[in-house]
Amino acid sequence: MKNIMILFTLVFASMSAHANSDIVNRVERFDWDGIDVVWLQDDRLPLFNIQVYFADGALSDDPSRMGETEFMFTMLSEGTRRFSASEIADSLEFFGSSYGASVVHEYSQFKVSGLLEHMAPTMEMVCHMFQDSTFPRERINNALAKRKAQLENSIRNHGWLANRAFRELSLRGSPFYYPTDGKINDLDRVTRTQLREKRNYFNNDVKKRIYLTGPREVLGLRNIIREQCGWRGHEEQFVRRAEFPPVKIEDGPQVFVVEVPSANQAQVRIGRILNPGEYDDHYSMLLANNFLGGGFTSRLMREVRASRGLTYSIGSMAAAQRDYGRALISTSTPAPRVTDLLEVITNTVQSAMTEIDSEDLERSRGNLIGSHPFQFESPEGVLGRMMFLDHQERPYDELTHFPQRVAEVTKEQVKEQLTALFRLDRQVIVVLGEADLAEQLREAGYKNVITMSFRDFL
Amino acid sequence: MRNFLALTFGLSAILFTACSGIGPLRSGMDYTVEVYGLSEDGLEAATSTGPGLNFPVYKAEFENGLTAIISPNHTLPIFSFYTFFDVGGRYEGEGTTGATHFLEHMMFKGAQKYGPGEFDTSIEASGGRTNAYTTFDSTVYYQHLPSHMLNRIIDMEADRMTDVLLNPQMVESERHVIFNERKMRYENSPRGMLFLGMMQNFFKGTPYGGSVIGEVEDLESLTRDQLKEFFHKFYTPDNAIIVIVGDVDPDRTFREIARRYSHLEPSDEDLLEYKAEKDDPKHYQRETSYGEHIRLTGSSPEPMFALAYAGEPLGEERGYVLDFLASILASGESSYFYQQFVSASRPQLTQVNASHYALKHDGIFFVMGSLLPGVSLDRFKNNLITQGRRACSRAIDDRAVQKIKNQILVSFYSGLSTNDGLAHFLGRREYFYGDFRAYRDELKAYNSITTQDVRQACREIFESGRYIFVSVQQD
Repeated sequence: MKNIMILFTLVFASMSAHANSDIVNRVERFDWDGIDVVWLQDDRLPLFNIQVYFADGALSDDPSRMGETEFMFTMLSEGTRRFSASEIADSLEFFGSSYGASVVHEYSQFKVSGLLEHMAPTMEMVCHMFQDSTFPRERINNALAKRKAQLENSIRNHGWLANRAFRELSLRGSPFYYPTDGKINDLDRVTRTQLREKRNYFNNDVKKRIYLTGPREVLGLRNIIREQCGWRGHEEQFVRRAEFPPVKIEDGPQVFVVEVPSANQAQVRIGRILNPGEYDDHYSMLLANNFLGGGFTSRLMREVRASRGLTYSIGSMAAAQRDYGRALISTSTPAPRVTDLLEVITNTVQSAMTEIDSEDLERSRGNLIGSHPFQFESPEGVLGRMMFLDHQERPYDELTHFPQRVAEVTKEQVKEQLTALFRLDRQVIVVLGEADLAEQLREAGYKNVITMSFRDFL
Repeated sequence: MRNFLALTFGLSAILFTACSGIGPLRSGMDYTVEVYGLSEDGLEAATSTGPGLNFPVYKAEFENGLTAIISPNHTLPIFSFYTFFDVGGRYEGEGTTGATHFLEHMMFKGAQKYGPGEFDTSIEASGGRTNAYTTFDSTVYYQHLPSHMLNRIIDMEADRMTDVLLNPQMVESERHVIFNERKMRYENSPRGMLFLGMMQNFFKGTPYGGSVIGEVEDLESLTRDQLKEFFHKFYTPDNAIIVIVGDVDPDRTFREIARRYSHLEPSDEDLLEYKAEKDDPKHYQRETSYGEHIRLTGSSPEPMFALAYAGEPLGEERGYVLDFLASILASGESSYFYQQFVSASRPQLTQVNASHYALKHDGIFFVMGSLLPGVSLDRFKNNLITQGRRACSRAIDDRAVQKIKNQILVSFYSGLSTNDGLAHFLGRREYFYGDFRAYRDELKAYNSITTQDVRQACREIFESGRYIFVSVQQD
């Protein structure tokens, strides 16, 4: 059985690689006045899609104004010297265009898409926003009021709150622990001048790359980028690098209960930061994670959901940005079953570290390899992958060689990865729910359970 | 819901035309095939720009009543496979709410030939994905798979249409999973609680006035036998539509379907009678208490609200007008309510949205939002209705209507750019209208919409006084 599975995997790996290389071969690269441009030709639809990558993100924020980068990008469309916020929105939405920024710690992106026939006016307006946004005080106040209210009301979404609390608690000691949008009072004193300076920094200093899909006409954007956005790649070369001493992984697990009122379900997050050097073995990490918590047939899903009905959903993640990585198990359960849930997860992870059934492992391997072609179905998806590979300074050939690399991972490597990533005494456990969960955990033998309020993370 | 609407708009000049006729005799069972092609000229006319789409569509009707639709696309070695069943929450009876959804979960837990775990395992080992969803009107299963899995998925889907295992231990375990899902979607989610409260109160006294997941007491008491009965009643070939889009050969695929599904018998008269009785308009007479303000308690520091009016059932021309109205009022930052309540110099809301949710036998038009601190809910309610009336003359003009057309055209293209999107597009129309080409009628309706139509619908809504208002806030 094992041989058949491996043979199947290799045959399929070769098939996938062939199909995907065709798409990668359709990629062309250009130098637009010092800006690297990647174009994936897509003639199927009269649409364009542009993703502008900025090589800096929330790490550029001044400690007294955390969240400023994300706020600045949000505020770009809130008024220029020529147009009001409503005129900008009406103009872009009239074309049916979509636009917006996303900011992470290491980098930022601005994405624009729409009908090809409206590409030029859409991008002219976007460039105008980047060059001429005035950040009117009234609009800043309006946005800050909404932002505060949204954070105050985040109790509505326990999953979101648990993720936010877990991020902060598990990444403490690294530059990445703080939320990219900042906390509730961080931007109270932000000024128009500071926002203009931040925008100018991204316009004039930060390195950019541009990723395009659509028919050949999208290359006509070059003039708009040069003339309207005014970006000059030769002069904009700053790339954010995060250098930090490795975060010390405490003996544990460290257990935190984040209290929320009126919850009959508990959100559970288990994981830790991965320091540089811990996520280099990319493919074995992917396979180990898929085996443990990927899909409906993973070890965790079978044990926690299918066999015991303890949750509706459980999954794991092990992934890296460029300068740090994260390992995470994420789930929820009825409040009275939290300790049962943790026990099952602990036992499942423990057994996965020591016993890996070959058939199960090949199923995970087949899943990773077989799912690879789906990532090429959407041109935007392919561009997103390329952008991230560029950010991580990894070559594109990983897109075509991915199946082969996964096929080469051994069972021992998977065991080692599972142990390295998910050994329970190295994890941070965050349980979000009602206050009495702390007692439940203590009674079950968890030591040093620390109780916090959800407000500590807003 | 908005995706659905988005996928239906902007194709006035695109024509599917029948090209050929009856397929040869196949092993397994007889079937007829029709072939349709997309007119590129038509697309050019529709968009006035850019390159065209070109995808053929093949449709087969099988002897036992099964319908299958295939659109080949050989760009990548993958395909999407959908199965639509004509069963949803509306066919449940008293004491069995949630049975449709429960059965949907159990359909992944083993059948005759492929036992427990084999369905998911086979799919995920190949790199594929599978899932399903249940609504009041339908139950839909789908898979996204590499091409070499075609025969396997046909065999597995035919197998679980033949009989479902319903292992008693697994039924109990899955019951807990569903309780967990209910907690996640409703009990611990004010947003879910608001939507459920709106549906329950607006559609009171009708099959739409409940929860698809089911009431707790019903979920606790549903038996294996009841699930089995539900299965045998509804999971028949003449109650199902298969849609496949991707790297497949239509002729070989139809033959394989004929071979694998041929043993399945069509439903008997009882099902038709049961459905006819359940779909009788007398069951859809709402007992809505108009003007009522329903206050729910949930973990939301500031109130969330829903203002709901009567909409239209699927396929009604006025329903398309209400789609436009919803978008003009609250889709995007340039929409009227966003400008009035969110972006204003003295904002009252953190966010707002509006939708027209068209169901098979009824519809609902609603506005939802979340208040900023210090805003009085009661005063806001009156203000919202007043602004709704004002919008009819102030917000609806030719430019606003054209803006929605542009937005929907983009969504349409984006939606059809994947196997998944096209399969769902074709399947929904075949399922709800009996012909995937029914979108032509939708498009005619959309194209005939005028600014005047939207204004009139707006007045009918906001001047009717026939609304309910639902809010959620913590104690």
